[in-house]
Amino acid sequence: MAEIVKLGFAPLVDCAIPVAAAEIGFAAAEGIDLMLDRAPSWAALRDKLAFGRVDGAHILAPLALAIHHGIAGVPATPLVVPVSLGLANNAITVSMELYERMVAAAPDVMAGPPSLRARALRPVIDADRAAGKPFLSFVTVFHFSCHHYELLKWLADGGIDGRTEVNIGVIAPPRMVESLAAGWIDGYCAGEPWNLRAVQRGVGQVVVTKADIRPDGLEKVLGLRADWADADAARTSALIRAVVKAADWCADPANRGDLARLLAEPRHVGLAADLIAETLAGAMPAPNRNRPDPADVGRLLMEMTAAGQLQAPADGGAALTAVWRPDLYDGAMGG
Amino acid sequence: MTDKSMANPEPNILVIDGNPDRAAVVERGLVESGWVRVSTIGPSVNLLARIQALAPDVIIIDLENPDRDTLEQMFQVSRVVQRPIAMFVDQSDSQMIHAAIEAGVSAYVVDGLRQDRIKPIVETAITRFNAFDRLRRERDEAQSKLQDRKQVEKAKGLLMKHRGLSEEDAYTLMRRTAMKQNRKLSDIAQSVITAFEMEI
Repeated sequence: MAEIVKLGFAPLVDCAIPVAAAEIGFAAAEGIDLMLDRAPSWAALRDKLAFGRVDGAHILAPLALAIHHGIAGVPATPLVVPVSLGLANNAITVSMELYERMVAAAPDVMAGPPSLRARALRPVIDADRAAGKPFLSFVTVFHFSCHHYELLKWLADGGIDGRTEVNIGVIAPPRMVESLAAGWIDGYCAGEPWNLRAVQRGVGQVVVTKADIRPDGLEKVLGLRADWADADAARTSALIRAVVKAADWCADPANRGDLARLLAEPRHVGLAADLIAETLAGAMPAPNRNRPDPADVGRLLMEMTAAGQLQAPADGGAALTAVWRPDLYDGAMGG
Repeated sequence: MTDKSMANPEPNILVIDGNPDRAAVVERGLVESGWVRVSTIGPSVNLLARIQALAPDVIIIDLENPDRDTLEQMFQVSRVVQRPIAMFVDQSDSQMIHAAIEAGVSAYVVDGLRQDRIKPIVETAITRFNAFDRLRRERDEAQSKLQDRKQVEKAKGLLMKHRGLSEEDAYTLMRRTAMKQNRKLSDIAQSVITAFEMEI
């Protein structure tokens, strides 16, 4: 009898790995009946994980740490991270109006490297302040997300304090483009296809991509409930193998067409296959990047602390670093 | 009934639900249980501005609502201004948490509202969510039964017209086939309809 394993996922292009594990047969080959649970928001995914409705999830790396640490709005729930899942291809998009103001105020900056383009916001922000206008509003996908840290870093590199000089909120990605078009927000940091969508509709311009801000920043991981992972080591190893094999399959460009069609189904992402295919290229992790690297935790903790989400841990982050479990990965993969 | 003293005014409850029918059911349930200050909003792009204008003490929102992430940000921001909105998850009452998740209810409360005052509100919402789902299930079942009956009637008509069977014989033939093949009568009716449609 196949073991039933329940994994939560958010309907984004990079949910490809758990979807492929379930649908292309990698889980079945490991004796696992993988049931996927689609969560329409990170809050819903967090709740399902924290209250045991799912055994694990394809989850934002900083959210996994926040849940474990008990700062994510639910009681602390011990997790383990045995697989790194992706780097994502996030970008920052601004409204046409803001883009034009930035170009008009600082054409040289806008013609220069994208990582420094936030400098063009300085004259815009100063002019707004002098005119008594409200702050510019940016949004990201969730506060415990790399998108949030990428936006803060891009602003900081341009000399803007993201915590005091602009508003940073949260909107579900499917609502970002219409919010930008309606003028409720001035920009956002999101994964694809939400940047491409705004550009195609002519309501926004991409000013910088993740590659220019935080190129090696880890984005998503496989997070498992520690009690579930500990209860049956063989089952946990089988799941790790299924997910890593699925990741390799997803990384192979030859499979992109099949993958895009699979993701396009409403039960997964539910967007046009050609739009998904266009964004898949940058979204998949390079092969052999799935072993969890504790160095990623140190970096995330610094970013979470800088964002005001976390007080510097007294143990220097040792307890949170131990959430990352390369030993489980090695045990499963025979490394 | 809840405490209506001046020191403890009625909590201002906001129901956010992507399904306006369910929102109405929940709202009515709360009002009938004695909470008078209840408002609802449907899917909204400019959610935060609308919530800030309504200034609720308790927010009931369906668990699957994508706007929850926006609400959570409000919780983070509000912490700075000392009027926090905390998610209603108190480990001491795990039974209710599981009932809420099962029913698809989540709730956020403004810090300072006493736990014993929140609990009956959330319990009422859970009851109403469950009642709504039961009603919807019953309606779906009734609709599918009606659909089945229409199909059987259509298949019977086809057999009478093209095979010269009496109404009773047509019905008996389909029933017997269904029993023999261990399938539902409506499935057999569908097969009959398909067969005739292909011949035509």
